[in-house]
Amino acid sequence: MIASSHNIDQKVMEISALNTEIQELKSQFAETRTKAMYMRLETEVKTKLSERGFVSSVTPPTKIIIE
Amino acid sequence: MVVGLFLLGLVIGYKIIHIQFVEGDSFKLLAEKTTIQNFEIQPIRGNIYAQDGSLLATSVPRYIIHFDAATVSTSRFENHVDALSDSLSQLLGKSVNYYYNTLVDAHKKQHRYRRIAKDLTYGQMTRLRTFPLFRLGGVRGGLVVERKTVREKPLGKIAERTIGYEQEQPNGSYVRVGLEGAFGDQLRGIPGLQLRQRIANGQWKPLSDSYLQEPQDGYDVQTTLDVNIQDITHHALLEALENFEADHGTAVVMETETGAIRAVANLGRTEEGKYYEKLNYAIGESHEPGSTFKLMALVAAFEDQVVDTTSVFDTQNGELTFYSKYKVRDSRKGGYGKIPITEIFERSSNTGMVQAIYDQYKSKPEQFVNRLMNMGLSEPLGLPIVGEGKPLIPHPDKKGWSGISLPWMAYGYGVLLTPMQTLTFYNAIANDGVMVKPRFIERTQDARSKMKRKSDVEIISASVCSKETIGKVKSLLKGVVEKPWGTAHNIYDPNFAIAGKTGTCQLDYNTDEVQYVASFVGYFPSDRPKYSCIVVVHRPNKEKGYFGSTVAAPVFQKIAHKLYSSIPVETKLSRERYLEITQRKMETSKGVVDAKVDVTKTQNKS
Repeated sequence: MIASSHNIDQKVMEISALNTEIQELKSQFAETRTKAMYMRLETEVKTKLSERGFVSSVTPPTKIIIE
Repeated sequence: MVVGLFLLGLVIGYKIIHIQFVEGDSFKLLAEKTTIQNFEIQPIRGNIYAQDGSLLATSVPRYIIHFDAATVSTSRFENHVDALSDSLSQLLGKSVNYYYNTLVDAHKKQHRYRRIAKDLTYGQMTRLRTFPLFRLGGVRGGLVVERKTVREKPLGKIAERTIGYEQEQPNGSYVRVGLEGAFGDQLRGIPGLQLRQRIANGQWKPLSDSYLQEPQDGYDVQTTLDVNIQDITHHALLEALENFEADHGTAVVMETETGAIRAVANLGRTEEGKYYEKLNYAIGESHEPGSTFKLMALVAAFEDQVVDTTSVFDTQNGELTFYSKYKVRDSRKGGYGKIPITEIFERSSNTGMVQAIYDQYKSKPEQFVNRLMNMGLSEPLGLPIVGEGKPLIPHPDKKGWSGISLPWMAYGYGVLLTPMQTLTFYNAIANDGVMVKPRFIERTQDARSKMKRKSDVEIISASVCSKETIGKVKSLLKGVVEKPWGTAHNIYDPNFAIAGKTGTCQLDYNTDEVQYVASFVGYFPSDRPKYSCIVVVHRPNKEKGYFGSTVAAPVFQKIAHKLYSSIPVETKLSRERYLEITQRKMETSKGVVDAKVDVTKTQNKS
């Protein structure tokens, strides 16, 4: 009875530590995702590439469908 | 002596019995209260996603750092304080001196809880944990870390107002802004209840492995917003607002067929002249639309067959006077002479338009107004986001109607519409008369069970007007851009057809300080509309420009072009023709004979 109760106590500590870890990983994920999303934004890419002389295309791409 | 001891024993005995049986229950309760508690298990709030699955809002932890100066020994503090201040300054941006002074001051006054930083991200917090002194932890290093959950918007300031927020008030009600507010009930989830007992280390252990009430995490909400279109729209609008030093503006992009809102930008000016998502103007601000309302007026006239495309009206030398004091003026002095209604629309002649509507309806204004009402213009759209501005169409039977109501309505004054309402009407024209409700939500989804609830296209009116009228006004809207005299000819591009209408509406016209609202609303490509879009710019600096064509139309053009160049053009090719072309290509380039075989192989497979 006492042993099992201590066991449970230990489990609770473990769960709480794991929960904190989940939160932290989630936060890390959101942070990285935010960074990636910014880098992906067209206006960002455009400003970065304009330094090297790239401009965005004015004509749409062509999709060739083979029947 | 013996009697005294006996009495003492009696008193103790009495007290024992009293505590055990009389006060016992309340003490037992007190014990339970301090060691056993009913815990509310907070559900995880759902995420908000863009159409392509990009994250628009999610809950993440943020960290607050305090310094406990009393637990750190003086020698250790003095050894590390310089290095620590230096590291903090590098991580958090303030000067080395600032942190040095804060730390020394806290140490001198033996503060146990001095704030060092707040709202740190996980990454910043882990770095801070490696700093001199702080790396020694809580007792020896005096580091106190607290965590709170905040709502993070990865897109930052872009679309901030549309994504919105939700804030609980002390009385339990919520302040609801944008989609966070509109779908708060779904996002929030339901808290669970669990009995827990206090154990060592300040932890609480569940008394049983089941909950009294299971917590339910909030639903994820997938919006119709497109991150890229939103980005383009935001920056195109921002550029125009900055160039024209306008007070505020909005731009909305809507998918014609489904009414899905792909982008909403709302930018307002701060005192320093910077712009940010201040209010949801697109939904909340009803204003006099001005010339963009001429479309509604003309649709009504076409429907009642009182005006036709061949009708000619006199623009009255550019000035009309009602009751010998109320004047309607054209933007060009002297007017345009006698011109057909098509040209009146394309040139956006106020006098011509007023003349046409007033002549036909002056004896029966209620017919005109009822027609407008039947087209759904007097009803709010009923959007999920709270705070929709109410439209106003004056009626001859109601208070406020006067002799100038009808002529004023003909060119968009005395009526009120929000940009979203105007856009919905133009979109109905683009969509061959089918008026669809603007849609923000693709679906809501339970994160765990993956159960989805799709949100369908809602039709407000299956046809706002006849097919003939649609055909007529569509060609007029095209003419506004295409015809050399059209008000938006400056955004004409032979490769890419835009249809729409400019609006240059006066504000504060009863004062000496007349201000303007410049707008452009329309759709593209004009032959087979895929998107509708509205751009409204309030109070541009008059010296820089104020016409709808110069202020708003270029924003529209920029958005349209960007979208156009990202929609692929589909060409169909028969398999024989495809092989023929690739074969010819292969023959011209030596050494790739094997590749030719590969191509035929993959072809056969498919």
